[in-house]
Amino acid sequence: MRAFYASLLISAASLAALNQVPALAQTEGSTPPFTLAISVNLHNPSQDEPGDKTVDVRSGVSVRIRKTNITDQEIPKPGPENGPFGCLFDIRDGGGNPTPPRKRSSGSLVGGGGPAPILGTKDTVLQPGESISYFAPVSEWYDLSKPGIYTIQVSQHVSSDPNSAVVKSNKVTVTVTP
Amino acid sequence: MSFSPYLSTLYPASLGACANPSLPAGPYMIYAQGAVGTACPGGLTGATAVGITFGAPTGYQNATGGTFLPVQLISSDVVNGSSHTAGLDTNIPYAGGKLPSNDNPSVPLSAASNPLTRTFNANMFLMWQSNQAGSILVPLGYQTWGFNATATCGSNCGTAGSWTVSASQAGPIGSFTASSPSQPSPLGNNVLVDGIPTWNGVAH
Repeated sequence: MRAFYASLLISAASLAALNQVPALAQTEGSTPPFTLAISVNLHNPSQDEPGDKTVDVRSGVSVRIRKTNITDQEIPKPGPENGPFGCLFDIRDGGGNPTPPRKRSSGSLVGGGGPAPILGTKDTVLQPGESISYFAPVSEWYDLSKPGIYTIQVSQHVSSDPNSAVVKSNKVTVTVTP
Repeated sequence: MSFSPYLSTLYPASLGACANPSLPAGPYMIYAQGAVGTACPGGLTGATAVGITFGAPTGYQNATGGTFLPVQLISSDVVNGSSHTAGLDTNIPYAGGKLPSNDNPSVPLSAASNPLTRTFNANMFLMWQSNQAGSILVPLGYQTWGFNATATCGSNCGTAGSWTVSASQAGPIGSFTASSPSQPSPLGNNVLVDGIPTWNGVAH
């Protein structure tokens, strides 16, 4: 199994060096069962758009998150975190400071909703090699209204155990212009 | 495009907190049965039955290899008389573009908002994008759907089991409407330009 992971890491690193795909996820702890790759999506919503981006402040910033099962067995599809799409978002300004949540008016409290896998079916798992993509309108949740440079990274624990390993995505840089 | 199965009512469920957007842990009224997970956007980890199903597109030719994509607009969303902003549901495409998919809107319940009535309407558009560079998304048609439901609690309102939910309507409204340049606008609170859906921002 480790040899399998190693070959995947080498292949992904080679592709990343060619700037064809986002870098493979970094993992703190044991060998990862999945990767997380993100890109700022500007043009074609059905494709990854790797690389740093410049975005007009009025356009908003959206990130495509792709989770890929790199094991030879099924893994849970949903992430365990208490953030959108089961992910934790780390968004920092040019000074490395965490970007605060976007302020909301009182009374705007509705839940997230969105799609749900049907329990007891294969819908809840990712098959070996399978990917799932999410689109996150991060400027709806974080205050990116100030022009400048921001870095975005998402992460997930590999299980609901808070002591389990953490898979981190590549980082993307967004320049928000006035 | 099929919109079944769908549920004819909403249910109470206990959902986990969401860090950002900030949403509490506790009871929710949700258009799903047996829902588990968090209240975050895309935070549901499962349900025994989903609110409404968005089926894979059928009846279209796609010889040139374009892509079918779902795009959903929230047309109106009123919770206890308070209107929320209409607009795009989360992002383009809906749910990462995967079809079939589903939707399960939820709203937190508390003693302070008891009873809670939510009237929700959305328009799910089936769009198509050519493989040609620079092409735009073209609407093929849309389905209006929504619900009107009330949750009430007698006591111990901090637990989902204390709430009862009744719905006067839930599911598709009318039939799937093929898009055309002469389509009347607005559609709910969203503007169609030559049949193409437009929005000013993400609904919230």
